[in-house]
Amino acid sequence: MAAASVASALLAVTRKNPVHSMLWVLTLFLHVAGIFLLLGAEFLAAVQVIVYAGAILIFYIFVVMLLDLPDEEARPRFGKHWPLAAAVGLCFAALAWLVRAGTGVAPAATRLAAEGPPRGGLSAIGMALFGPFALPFEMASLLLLAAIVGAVVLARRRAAGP
Amino acid sequence: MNPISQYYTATDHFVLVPAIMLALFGCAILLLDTWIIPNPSQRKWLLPVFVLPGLGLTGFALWRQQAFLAASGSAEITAFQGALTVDGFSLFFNWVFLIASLIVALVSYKYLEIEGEHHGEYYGLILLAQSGMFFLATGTDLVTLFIGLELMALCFYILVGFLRTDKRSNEAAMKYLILGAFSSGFLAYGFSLLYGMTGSTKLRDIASTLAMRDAWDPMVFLAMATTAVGLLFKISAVPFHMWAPDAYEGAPTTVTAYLSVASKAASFAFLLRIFMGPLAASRASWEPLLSIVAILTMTVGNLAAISQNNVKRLLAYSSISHAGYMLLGLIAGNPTGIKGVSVYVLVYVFMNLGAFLVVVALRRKDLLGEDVEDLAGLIHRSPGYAILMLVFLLSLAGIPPTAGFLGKYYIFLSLVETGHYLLAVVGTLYVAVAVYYYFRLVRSMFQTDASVTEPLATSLGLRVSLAASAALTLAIGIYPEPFLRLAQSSLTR
Amino acid sequence: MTGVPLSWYLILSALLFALGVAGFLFRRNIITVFMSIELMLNAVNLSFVAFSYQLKQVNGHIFTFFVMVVAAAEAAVGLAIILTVFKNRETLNVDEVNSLKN
Repeated sequence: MAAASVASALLAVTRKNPVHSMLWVLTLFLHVAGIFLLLGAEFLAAVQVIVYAGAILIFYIFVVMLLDLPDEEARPRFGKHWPLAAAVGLCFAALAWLVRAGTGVAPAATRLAAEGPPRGGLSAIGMALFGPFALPFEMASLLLLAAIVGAVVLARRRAAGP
Repeated sequence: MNPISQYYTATDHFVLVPAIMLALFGCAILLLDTWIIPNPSQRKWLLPVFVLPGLGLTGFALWRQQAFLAASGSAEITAFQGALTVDGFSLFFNWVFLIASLIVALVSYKYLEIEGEHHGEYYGLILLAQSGMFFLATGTDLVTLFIGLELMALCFYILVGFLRTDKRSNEAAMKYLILGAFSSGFLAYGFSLLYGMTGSTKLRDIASTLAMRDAWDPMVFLAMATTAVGLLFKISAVPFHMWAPDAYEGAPTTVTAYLSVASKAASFAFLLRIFMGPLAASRASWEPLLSIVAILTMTVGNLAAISQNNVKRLLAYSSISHAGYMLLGLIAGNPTGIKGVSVYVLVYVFMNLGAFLVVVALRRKDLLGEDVEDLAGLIHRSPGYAILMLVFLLSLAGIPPTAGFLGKYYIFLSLVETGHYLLAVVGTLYVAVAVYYYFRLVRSMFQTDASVTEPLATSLGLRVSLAASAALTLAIGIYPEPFLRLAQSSLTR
Repeated sequence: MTGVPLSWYLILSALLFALGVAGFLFRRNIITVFMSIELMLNAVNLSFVAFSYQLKQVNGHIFTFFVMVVAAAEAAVGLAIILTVFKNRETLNVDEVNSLKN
């Protein structure tokens, strides 16, 4: 599954047609949801499928269709930033290696693991969200309000404005 | 105690009131705009006037918190199990945000009228953005900080693109949003590593766990580096500054003014919280990194500003270089340095807002008023504005009788105290460069003949705000003690 | 803990993140650039969930939840902005959107 998600991510960033790459991103999201399940995060797996795969991607597809893309422009897909990109690639190869090396030390934190089994079940998340994390939850509602207002302000036609 | 209030105690409420007020009035303005105000001529003055009680009540709540801290003698109030902390630091920054919002709300209506985009959403978003900033300055939990940052940033994306039919505004919003979202990705990745290493999202727990680890531990370094990338984007430090000139130039000028001071102050509050808190222990690894970034920031900011012909773009590069100076205070890291950053932020708010307000004043129906040439002969057209602009520019350059000097003085003092002589020398050299391009504007105002001769027509709000900013810029420079005391209070953390 | 060690998940997450960054820097089509950002955020989510699993805590899940909220909000505003840009100039290529001089 990990291999599949890397492969689909790779395809997603290299496909020329945005719709194709969107489909690859979709497979990626589904694989990540699968990994969430493996890691015991049932709720998040469901949210991942519903929100990312269901809502966000549909949203993107709507925009692509609304815009009625003039055939994906047949120009070089990659900008002139090859050297920069190669450098970034190297940096992140180093990064992946660092993470691997670093995790040898990371389990220092596992002392907390003894506490018991609460994991990503629905009830655990619900209790946390409306208990200690109630404040961020309310803040998120403000965030979404701002997003709604913003989308409406930006997308409405001038004539419709008051 | 019943189980619900366990998560929302009286203390929690006390701490949260400013944010509640901001959010409440933000929403109320949206409703007011749609339903209640019948005709457009009332809207013109009713909307900005309605912002005032919101900001007033917020200020009152902040004042009560300050009074409580002073009376109880304790250094801080924590709420929401350590997710929010009110201390001198957070109060100081919240006052700064409040002043910035107040001034921007007062000056906007005429400008938006000219642009034909006067809507209640503008004021609603300003208040919502400020509530995001409240959480940035007050939050001490990664989740709270992250959402606060996004709340603020999202409001700014929309405000930058508020002129829907203006190509430049659309484009600025797009660039700002793409790069902003990109940097949020980095920040979130850094946060995930911080959480993974320490098993907590509270800054205090993270700090105590990280203190036990080596600064060059690869995981710690990686977490520090990705977090730093995310944060440096937000303050527009140099390798990550590309969005700033475009966003500043394309945004409505009033938004540019707000973005350049409030967003930057909030990001600095966030930066200081993270670097002086959880990452303080790994100073050895971030100090050289940030020193390079600071030098680059001052270099690029100052040198690129020289060749700009658009005043907004010039001020954008100058604000990049100011971010470099503020970073120097963090690098020094001693109490003088932090106090220096606080003073600098306060001073910067007045002088930079002031300079942008003059650009706002230049806007007319048929004239963008953004080129250096548009300033030409201002002294003959409207001597008052020319003098005020002179005060702001002197202060931005850091010339002694003005407030800007004070900010730079404390920063350089802290660098010398901590033995960063090289950085101090580089910083001082760039002050000379900065004087050059600020004086280009001054020369344009004072020497050249004007192509237009009628004086500027401005609104009452703008005149009051300009006068207040200039008065404070001078006051801080001439009689700094009360302001220094205020900045000193931000050290109790 | 199951057979797969934590570090594997983290490497996967780092790889996905790197791909997202690479996509962001390489690609010129704005929609794809946005999807690269979603990719980065997914990598972040993955590492949060992996850490959360390791630590047997729910905090990481909560953070993931909020990252999703943020992603959704950003997508909404971002796409609205893209619509306005497109309405005014008919292209989605990042290089062609350049009326701000640089």
